Amino acid sequence: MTSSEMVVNLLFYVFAVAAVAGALGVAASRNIVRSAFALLAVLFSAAALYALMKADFIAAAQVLIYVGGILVLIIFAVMLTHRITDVNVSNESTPGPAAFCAVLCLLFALVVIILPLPQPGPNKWDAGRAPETMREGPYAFVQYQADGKTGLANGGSTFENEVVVGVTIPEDRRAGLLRIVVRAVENPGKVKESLETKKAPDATLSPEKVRLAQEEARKTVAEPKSLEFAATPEKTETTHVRLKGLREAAYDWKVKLVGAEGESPWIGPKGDPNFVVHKGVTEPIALALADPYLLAFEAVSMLLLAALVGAAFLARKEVKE
Amino acid sequence: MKFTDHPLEHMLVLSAILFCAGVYTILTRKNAVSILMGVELVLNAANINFVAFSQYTRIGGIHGNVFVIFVLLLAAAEAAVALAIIIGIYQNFGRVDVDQADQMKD
Repeated sequence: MTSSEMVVNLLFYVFAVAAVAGALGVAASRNIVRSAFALLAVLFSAAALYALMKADFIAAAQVLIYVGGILVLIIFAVMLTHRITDVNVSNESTPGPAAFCAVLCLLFALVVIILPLPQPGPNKWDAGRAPETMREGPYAFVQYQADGKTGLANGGSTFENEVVVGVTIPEDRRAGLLRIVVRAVENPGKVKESLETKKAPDATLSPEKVRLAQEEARKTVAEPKSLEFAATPEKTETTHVRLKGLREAAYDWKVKLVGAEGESPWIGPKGDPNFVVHKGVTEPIALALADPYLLAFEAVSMLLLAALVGAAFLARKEVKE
Repeated sequence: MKFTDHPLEHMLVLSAILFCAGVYTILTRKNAVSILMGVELVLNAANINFVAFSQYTRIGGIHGNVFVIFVLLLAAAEAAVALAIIIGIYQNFGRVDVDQADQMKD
């Protein structure tokens, strides 16, 4: 286990324990103010877990909206609706062995659904996590996210600057194999915006300078950057090559086998495998909200407006005629 | 059992625990503000599931994260309206116990 894996494990368990302790505090505390602060612990731990799952924007939004907005509202409601002396008895719960048993049964059912409890081992989640195998002749190719275990669909997005490519070579072709080279080429057709649209010509520049700038931009786009990564073949059938330091772009990749007596041509399955690298989830979320989810986004804006008006209407003072 | 070997299962079990704590809070409390806290716990459990499936499956992409944004916005709207209702109940009844606000029956 590498040290970074150890840190991730440790962080998960620290924040998971904090979240569970906070949730139990919310459920069990006799004091409603304590419940509210236990909820604070849960919300912060959830934000940390989002960050652990590389959802940086979600983590920030969680802290801003939940902790900064909703929790403050809840504490306001507690302050407005209870005399301070009542606080200790304000959070009575119906003594509920029945509710407790029902919730335990629910938890048990959920865990049985999630985990392969009768026979631990490979389970239904592994199928969704495994990479899809792309074949070409005797070779098979897969691509993984940076953790080297979670698959990356062909054409899928990754939110880190590393991707792992697995190349499976049959026994008879592995003799005398020295290196496996993976070449990742930035695909300018798939990059979201070309440099020409990114750099609008400055109106103050002379036409000559504008032309030069456009030519420069076209040159950069026309020459896609390609990166090569090599790995020595592993003892097992499949060799993993880690593509590091990728820029934010769409990539196609091909594989070359270098042996003692020569090189193979560039090989890869039909319709080259490819992936898109994003730096963090913020920009993809913005693009998704602006395109496929635009209608839902507008509907939510109407809902927020209605909630605003409704809350103001409900909370206003009665005017007696 | 290491988290990095089976991250999806770990996150799902964690969110199941949070969900059950939230359901227990909703079932047993009389105080409307406490029930609201239970609802927030349940919503958070759902959010953790969305992000986990988005991150730890092959065809994850960004869609799970977008849904979390929508759930956050809905939770904010719901909290604002619910707390306005709670203040209204408090002004009328002097308490916010949900079993006392039963005037609609009469």
